[in-house]
Amino acid sequence: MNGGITWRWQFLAFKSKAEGQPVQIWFDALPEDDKYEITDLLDYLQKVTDRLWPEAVFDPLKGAGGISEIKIPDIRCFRDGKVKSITYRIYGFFGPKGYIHSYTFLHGAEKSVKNDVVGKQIAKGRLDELERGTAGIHKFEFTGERNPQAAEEQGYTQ
Amino acid sequence: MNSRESVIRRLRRSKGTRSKFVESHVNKTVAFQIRSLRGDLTQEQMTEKVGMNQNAISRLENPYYGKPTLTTLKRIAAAFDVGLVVEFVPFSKLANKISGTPFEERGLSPESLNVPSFTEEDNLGVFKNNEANEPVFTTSEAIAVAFPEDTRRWLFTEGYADLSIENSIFVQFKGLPVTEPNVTTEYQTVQEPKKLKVVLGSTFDKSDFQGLFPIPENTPTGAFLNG
Repeated sequence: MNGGITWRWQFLAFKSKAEGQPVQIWFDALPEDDKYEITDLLDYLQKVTDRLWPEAVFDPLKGAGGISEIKIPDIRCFRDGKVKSITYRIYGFFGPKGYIHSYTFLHGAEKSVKNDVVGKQIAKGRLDELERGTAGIHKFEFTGERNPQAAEEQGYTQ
Repeated sequence: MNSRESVIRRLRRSKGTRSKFVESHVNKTVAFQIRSLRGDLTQEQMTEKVGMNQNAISRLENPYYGKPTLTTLKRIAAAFDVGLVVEFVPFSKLANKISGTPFEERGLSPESLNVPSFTEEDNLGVFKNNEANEPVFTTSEAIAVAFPEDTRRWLFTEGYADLSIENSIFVQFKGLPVTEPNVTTEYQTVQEPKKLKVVLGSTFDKSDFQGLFPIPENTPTGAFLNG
């Protein structure tokens, strides 16, 4: 039971001078319905605070150097004249240090292969940048909340 | 994350969007709750508790693949000794719930069995942006005596109280009797305010005011307009 727990996860995202806010840019460019689906799932994950996130939608990616993966499968979309089912992956990690109850997105992508080696490498590379102090984080903005200036003003930098 | 305003914007897009919204949240609520109920048990250990195989449990915990029947949900509720509520609700209530907006749960009542559609609620102004989610006014004790014989339950749709007249406040509201959805009625009255919050889209009847305050003698009964 989690009676009395009032905190929730907050979602942050990677940013750097070289890349800007790549996860936010990726998310903002998604079709509206897909953004809703991702937002809905993260809204639930945000409130799972007394145990690990469900394995159906979260993979801790053991042995991947500290990154983990949120899975958003089976999104129906219409592409190339056909209805297709696609899966999104958002790589991230719990942290960074100094930010309690935070999960930081490193890389977002549509699943195209079973073992996304390239996606994991991108995410790990960004995590390394954060750990070296050569990149920062920002508050992730969901559908209907987009206000980059306000996020910047909140001082989400590292 | 899902603010009430953003949920309402989304619901306004189309009927298809609304049905997707319902499906998304039913699937996720059920899957996340079942995972939480399992607690520290393994899926294998849970098979004995609920009498289902491990594959079925795994699917139930997956918001994208589980399609539980009511029978399955009742079985899980019984196994974990918890209650189960399956009900149709107005979108205003669902929007409050998903966005974490506090709302009054009135339990089993006539309006809970007579659920208005999105369009019907929209026509009542329930989703007006500037009024949503905020207590609209502090109502007056005179409201209790404004309709002393009227025991109908009202769906509150509009109201304000901002004009002071000699230590009194002019209170006006519009509401629809739930049992007569096509009739609009407006009351107004003058009296000292009491701290009873009325939230847009909430319902009330005379009994809600009883016991909150003594009704003084010679209290004006208020005017019944456009009735």
